[in-house]
Amino acid sequence: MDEECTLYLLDTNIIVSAVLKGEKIRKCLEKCDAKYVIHKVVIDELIRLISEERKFRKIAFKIRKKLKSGKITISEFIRKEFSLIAVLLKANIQLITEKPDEESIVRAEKIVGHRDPSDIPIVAIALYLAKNRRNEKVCIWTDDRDVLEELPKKEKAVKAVRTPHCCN
Amino acid sequence: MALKVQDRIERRLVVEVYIYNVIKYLSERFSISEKEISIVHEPIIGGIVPDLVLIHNNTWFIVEFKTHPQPSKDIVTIMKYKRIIDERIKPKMTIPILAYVYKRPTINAAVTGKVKPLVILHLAGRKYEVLYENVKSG
Repeated sequence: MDEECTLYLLDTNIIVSAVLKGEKIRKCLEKCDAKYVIHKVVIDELIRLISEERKFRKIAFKIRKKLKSGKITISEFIRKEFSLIAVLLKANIQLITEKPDEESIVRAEKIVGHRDPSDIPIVAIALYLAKNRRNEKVCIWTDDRDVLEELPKKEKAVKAVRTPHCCN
Repeated sequence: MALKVQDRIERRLVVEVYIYNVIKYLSERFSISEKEISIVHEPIIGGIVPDLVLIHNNTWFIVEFKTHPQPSKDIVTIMKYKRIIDERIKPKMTIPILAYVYKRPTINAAVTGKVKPLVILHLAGRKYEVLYENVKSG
């Protein structure tokens, strides 16, 4: 666990991995007694996408394939899903709805816009949180290379940490 | 599969942050009050899923947010969205808006082919810049 960080903003790639595949991320959430925040829009969208018939069929196909190949048994699969629910209930995750202000957006654009503008929102939200929660050290938990490489070069208020930050 | 879900969620976050700029454009350009605009995120219409539809007085503004500009391709896509919405929903008017986030594409007559109606915006910070605007339906 990164000793500096007191509040982790979970990036999209981490949430998708935790829900759809990542055993490692689930373990991190279980092991690390830290504060986590996720933007509400991310969860709303994830629920919406999973409930889409086409997406659900793809997920179901992958699960069926795994079961058929014997990589996992049905009881193991159900156990894993229940354990995910328990891990998420136990983890100290808070949903946030804050919209970043102009200053945070402009700063985020300067930091990561040239690499990938899709990363601007997560950096802007983190900068906005850092500005408004001065008693916290805000870190973005991400596996995105653009954010991991650009943030330390240009910004001290917010840190980016990759997945193994608390799994070791 | 996971990557596609991730892309869609990232796009949704981009919309969340930059929707302000598009609404600002609509209210300044068409004198529409923000309160009179209905916002529909990712409506599924005839197999297409535009990022956003802003509705005012039965005029549909179809908005696509782009972070990696490919104007020629993007115009074809959004005009296809307009055609499908016109066929299925039949609004009073449909105005497609391409909203480029941070990266500013080069827009000229060769790219747009003077397509109408179409609006192309560049969004950065809390500002918008009109790169192309032809809102008279043709």
